[in-house]
Amino acid sequence: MSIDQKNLQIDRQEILRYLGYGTTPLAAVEDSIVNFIDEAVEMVLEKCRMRFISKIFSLHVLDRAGASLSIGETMEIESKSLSQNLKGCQEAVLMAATLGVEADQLISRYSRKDMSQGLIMEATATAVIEEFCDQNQLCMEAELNRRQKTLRPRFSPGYGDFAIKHQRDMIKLLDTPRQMGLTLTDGCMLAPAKSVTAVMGIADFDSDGGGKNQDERRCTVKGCEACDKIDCQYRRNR
Amino acid sequence: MNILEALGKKILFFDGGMGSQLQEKGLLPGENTDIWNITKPEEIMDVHRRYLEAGADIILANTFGANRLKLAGTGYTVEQVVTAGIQNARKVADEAAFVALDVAPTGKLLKPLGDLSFDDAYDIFKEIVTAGEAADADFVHIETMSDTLEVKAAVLAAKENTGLPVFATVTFDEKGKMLTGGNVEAVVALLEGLGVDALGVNCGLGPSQMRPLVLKLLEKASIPVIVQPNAGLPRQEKGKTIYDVGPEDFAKMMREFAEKGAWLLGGCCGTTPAHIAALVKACKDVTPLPLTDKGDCCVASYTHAVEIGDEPVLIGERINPTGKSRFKQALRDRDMDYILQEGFAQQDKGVQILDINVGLPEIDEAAMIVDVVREVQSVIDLPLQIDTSSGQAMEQALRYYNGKAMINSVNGKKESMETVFPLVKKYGGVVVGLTLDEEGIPTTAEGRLAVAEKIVNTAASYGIPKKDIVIDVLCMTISSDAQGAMTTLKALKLVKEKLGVKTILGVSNISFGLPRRDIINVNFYAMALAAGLNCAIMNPNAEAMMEAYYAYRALAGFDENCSDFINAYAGTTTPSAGQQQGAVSTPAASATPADLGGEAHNGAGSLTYAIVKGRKEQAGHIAAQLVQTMEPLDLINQQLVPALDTVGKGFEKGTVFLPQLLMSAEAAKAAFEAVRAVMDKAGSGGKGQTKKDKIIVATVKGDIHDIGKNIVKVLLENYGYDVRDLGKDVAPEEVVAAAVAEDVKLVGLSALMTTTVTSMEETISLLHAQKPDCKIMVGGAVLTQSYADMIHADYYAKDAMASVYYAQEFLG
Repeated sequence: MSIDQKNLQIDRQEILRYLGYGTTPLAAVEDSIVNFIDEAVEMVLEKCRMRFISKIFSLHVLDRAGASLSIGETMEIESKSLSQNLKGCQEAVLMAATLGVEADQLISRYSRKDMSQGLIMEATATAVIEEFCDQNQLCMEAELNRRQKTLRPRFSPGYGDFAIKHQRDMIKLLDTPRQMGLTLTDGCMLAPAKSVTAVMGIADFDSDGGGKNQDERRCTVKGCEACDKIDCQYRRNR
Repeated sequence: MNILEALGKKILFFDGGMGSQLQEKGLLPGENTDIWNITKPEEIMDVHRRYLEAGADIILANTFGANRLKLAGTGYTVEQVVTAGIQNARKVADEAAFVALDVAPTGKLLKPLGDLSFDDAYDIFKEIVTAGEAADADFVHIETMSDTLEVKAAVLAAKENTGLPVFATVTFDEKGKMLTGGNVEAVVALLEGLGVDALGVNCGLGPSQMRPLVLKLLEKASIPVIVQPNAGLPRQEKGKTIYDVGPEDFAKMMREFAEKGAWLLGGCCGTTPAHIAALVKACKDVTPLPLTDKGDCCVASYTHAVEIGDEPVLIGERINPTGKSRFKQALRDRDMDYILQEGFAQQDKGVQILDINVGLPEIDEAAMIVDVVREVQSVIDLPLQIDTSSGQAMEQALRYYNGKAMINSVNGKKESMETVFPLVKKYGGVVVGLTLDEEGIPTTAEGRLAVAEKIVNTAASYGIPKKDIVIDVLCMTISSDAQGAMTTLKALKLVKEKLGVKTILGVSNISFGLPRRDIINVNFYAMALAAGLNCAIMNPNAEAMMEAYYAYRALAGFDENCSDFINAYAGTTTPSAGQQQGAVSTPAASATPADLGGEAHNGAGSLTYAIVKGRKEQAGHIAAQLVQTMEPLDLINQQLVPALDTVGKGFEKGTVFLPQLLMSAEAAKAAFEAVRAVMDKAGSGGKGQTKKDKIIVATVKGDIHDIGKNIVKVLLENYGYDVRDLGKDVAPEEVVAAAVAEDVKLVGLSALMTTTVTSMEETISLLHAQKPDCKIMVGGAVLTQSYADMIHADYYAKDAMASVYYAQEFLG
């Protein structure tokens, strides 16, 4: 079930959104920028060594108010938004994905060569890691569907009131430094930077209105709407 | 018996997986394995005992994660856990078995990819190896390393702080690369250079995926090789990690490695005592093959090695201040971007190694060369040649260089050899030996051979093999010595023939004092190549030199199907008679593309237009032409600044987006650079005339994301400010020290995440206390006006242009 990174379809419009263009259509953007976006996509897909791991853990609600829960034996979390997201689930998938050091290297290289190209590389890598996560998530979901189960949207430490310090638990439980070279800085930032860790609840079909078609699923796979930072400049449909 | 004496007498067997064994004993995911040395020693000893019964000769103590970062919060010290780990192994190991201190990665990424400094990594390893030696480990076994720089820190810590033998193994993926990019050749060059006693590969892959890498390792390494694969590739089944390769299959595949020359075999993740028992049974009758010196003359970066052999190697000479006023100024200003541009340009031209020379009397060369080496390595993956006459600068550069460097240079003088050879021995490297000594440069070829021989022999007495020396027989200008070139070529052939070493030349000296030096240089270069020159230090921007290089490779049979030559020159034409070489690339010819017909002041073809449209090369060319007839300051004020303002206003109104704003900024920068070149030439000092006040920018401590800060920097520079970029993950004290030292009135701080806003707050309060007249502007993804107020920033910049406007308002 591994994803072939070279075949990822990267939505150029999404890259424009990260670059601050909002919904400006691709056709209205300078050729030189559009061309470099194409080059950047090709370089990221070609040079990065993307890695993904996931593991299923049991979930336990620790109090009746439902703001406190534990994942596996060792990870205890106080978070209303995550609890809400995982409501009704008995299990959760912990996942980690990274584009590897090559993405960071491409971004720094182009930032020093030409800042506009560095910025485009950054936006491109962001779009690629998101798509890479989406595809892996869809893969896992397809497998779960066969068992009449479905996946909730990705929920990452730092989102809502799910404290960023829980990155430490994620890294430990998935053994990511050794398994995929994904590490944390003292400030709980992921290094390499173009990486994602997330929790996804495993729910029964009926509780989540299963059987939706793929396009509808993509909306819940994507995370914007689950986030309460409504003034975020990158938010869709702001 | 010492482990070193045991090597090669028979195949030696390591144990197998520890973690997977402990999971069966109830270890939870994420639980610290190493404190079991103290809390559950019986369980640990039981695993050791079973491996010994299976026939292992070497037991790895359970100290994989026994570093201060991973033990933080457990209540145990590194010393306690390491001591207990070694003792547990000792208790069950009999006399014949060896106990190794297991040293694994810190679990953090080193700078610039992560936030752990090389020195901190070194200290972490130092603490482990010191405890390991005190607890009586037989040797240090550094393993599962996925970053060349981290393994270097570990090896240096072990060698500088203990007297123990040092083994090191690294982990590759199926593409044959470490996580940070290093391939087999780069790893062999690095580890042999550092003088480890055995090297190899472990973890990551099963024996079948590891096979091509092991064969490559055996082909390249001249020292004992270790192979410790996993029991196949892992897969998840019902929340458990499963490895599929059983003991018999494992052993069968491993036997081939022993037969092909690996001296030490064992297992990693998923392997069990049964795997080791089968391995011992299958391989114990194999007689270790004798070691052979592969004799490769190799330098390496953190990704790949460059072999200096028959095929000529180009070493780019442009990162060097000699005779370049603009470069000197860049060094004085710490203008890393300018220096990096020289690196990018040379890499794009096709050089394989970059020479780094930053010697200038008025700067601290040792500190500067380390900074430049780090900056270059953060964005360019070519091996570097450390070029300095200062022993201190050489040592610092070699210590922090990520890879096996080329070293420029040593000569036949006693003092030079006594300074340089110990460094080559300690850090590894290929050293350039100049054939001159206390008597000067010998005038005859035989004289130069004699000095070369002295260099090679003295190096040998330090344990430096011939393959790590490249001899420069030097060239004297033919304008003062008619036989200069012939003597050099004769000496070159002699040292190759008599000493069997590789050769190098800086060819351009040959033409000193003559007109059209390029003509002499290129012909001499071609003659030297024909005489067997292995590498040249040269300017890759000199087209004729590159032509000679490509032509030689094609003629000498190094360019299959002439494909590189065709790539470089298909579609180009021979310059016609009478046309000066180089004329084809003058600004006039390339700056007027067909679509720019208009002549209006800000119409197509104008500087304003080029900047607004973000056309970098065009802007540079037009500015270079305009400044011939216009006062530089008029040009800046009448054309450059208005163009930037147009774009800036568009950005504010939302009609111009950030990538365009930056393209215009880059175009303006190219125009400034062209104007500056003229001002520098006119001797008007350049600097003070165009630069406004100094502004410091930095990404705060704990934050390793710097794209926002870099954008602000580019724009501030555009508006003429002298920007001092302190980089990312910068401590509050460092910001304050720089602001005080240079009496800076405005500091820009960037932070990406809420967690790092606290260190922004600390920086602000320290600055306010110690440099009250300095204003602080802040920006970054999580910041808002109210957040900025809360941490007492003087100004919140909502975007990059806002920081420019504030600087203008506050500084003028």
